[in-house]
Amino acid sequence: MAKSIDEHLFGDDRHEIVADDWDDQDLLTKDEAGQRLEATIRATEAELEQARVSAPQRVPQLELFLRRAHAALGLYGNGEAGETK
Amino acid sequence: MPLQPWMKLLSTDDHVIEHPKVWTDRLPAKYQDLGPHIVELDPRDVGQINLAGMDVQQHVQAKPIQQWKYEDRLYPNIGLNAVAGKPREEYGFDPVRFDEMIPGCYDPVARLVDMDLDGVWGALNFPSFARFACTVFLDGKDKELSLLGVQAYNDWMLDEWCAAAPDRYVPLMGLPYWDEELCVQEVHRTMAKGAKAFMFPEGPSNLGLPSFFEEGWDRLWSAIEDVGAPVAMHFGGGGRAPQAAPGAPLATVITTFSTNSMATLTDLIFSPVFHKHPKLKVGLNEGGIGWIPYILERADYVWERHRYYQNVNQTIRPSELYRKHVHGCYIADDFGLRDGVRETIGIDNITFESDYPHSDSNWPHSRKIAEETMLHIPDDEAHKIAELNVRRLYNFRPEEAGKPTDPVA
Repeated sequence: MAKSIDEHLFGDDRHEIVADDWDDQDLLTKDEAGQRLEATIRATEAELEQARVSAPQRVPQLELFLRRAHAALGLYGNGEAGETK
Repeated sequence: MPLQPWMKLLSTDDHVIEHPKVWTDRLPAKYQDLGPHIVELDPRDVGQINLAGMDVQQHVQAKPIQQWKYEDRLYPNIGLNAVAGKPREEYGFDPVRFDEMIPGCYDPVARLVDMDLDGVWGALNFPSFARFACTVFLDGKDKELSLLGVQAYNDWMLDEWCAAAPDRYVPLMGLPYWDEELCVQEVHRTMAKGAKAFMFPEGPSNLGLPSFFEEGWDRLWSAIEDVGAPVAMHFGGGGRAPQAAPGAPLATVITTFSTNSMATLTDLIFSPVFHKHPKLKVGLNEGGIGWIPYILERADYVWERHRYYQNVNQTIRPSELYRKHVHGCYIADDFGLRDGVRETIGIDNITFESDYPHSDSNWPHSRKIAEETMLHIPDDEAHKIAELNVRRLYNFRPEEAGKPTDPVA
């Protein structure tokens, strides 16, 4: 006979509920995110220089990306944001 | 370029870090001290707390460590409890305070900045402290508080997180799994507020709940199929990791993460669930897709030879159930996207995921990498994988799908 949810939850054979999820994927930290952004900005600036010569139609898109990347980099400097929620 | 600039990239697996006031803003006064709230601890004292192997004494720092407290339990990581039991040298530095995190973890507006940078238009977000299926409330001794805790998470996701950009965040809800009737009520309560999908633990029996083969979920499945929302099963949400051999490096566990999703899919397609609930849809989130053709072939092979003496459906092949009911997602899965392979998985069954803000994500290059991995894929298929499948499966603003005439930001 099938068990009810209550029996599953509170019966003798109830499994131990694990304390935590086991996912191993660490959070992207400010440092790591900043490093990724700085590398991306450097690469995009080089790409932009080339695009100005060889692919001018890409320039607005690359400039927009760079503005966004710099804005995000600035955002990571606001260390107290989490405490003001 | 098959992934055209006007196609909006939607992710079916990102994560939020619940900010410190998610529950204190919403729970009644009598539960302010018992409900989930952040406490600050002297890092020199935390060694007295059971941290399951974390060598926190080596992590002594000037600022207090922040941890969640729920009833009388401390939860040792405000982000992901990812590092329990791991040697220090095998994991990265996880933030122990909110001010150490990038704001996009917990702030929905800051998240949009990061998504814009990443070229990701929209996302389905799973919890962190509440666990990937919002199962932390199963721990609660006071089930009235547990229910209020689930509802507070859902209300925060709907009223605060998704409200910041309703066209970009897909509302994903938790459920009070300890009581099926309460689950049904929460489905209807949240659907009335705009919910689009419901979490469910991938291995419910690991948590002491009925399995997919047992009685206990039919009213819930009926309610969910009636409202037309999918069920999202994130790997790890069932509380059990793949087992590594003694002495094996962590790499063996990381490599075999997706075997959890394989086991979940196998359970589902041999269970009565889809036979009894023909409109139910299930997403296997973060499990990858390349393994799906093999497990379907194997399931059908087993079904052909062994169904006669077992309590399994005798007329419908497991792979047919998969195709009609299940979708997967990938961060990077070149094999799964190969010609011939993705058709076997099903072009309509594949979605993209970014996995922000986990370090496994390709942020801020998700779109660039998605473009590269789809170079050989026809435009119409790329559009389905990147956007249209999510719009359809999650009933997420299908009228707002990207069009070739759209201006490209």
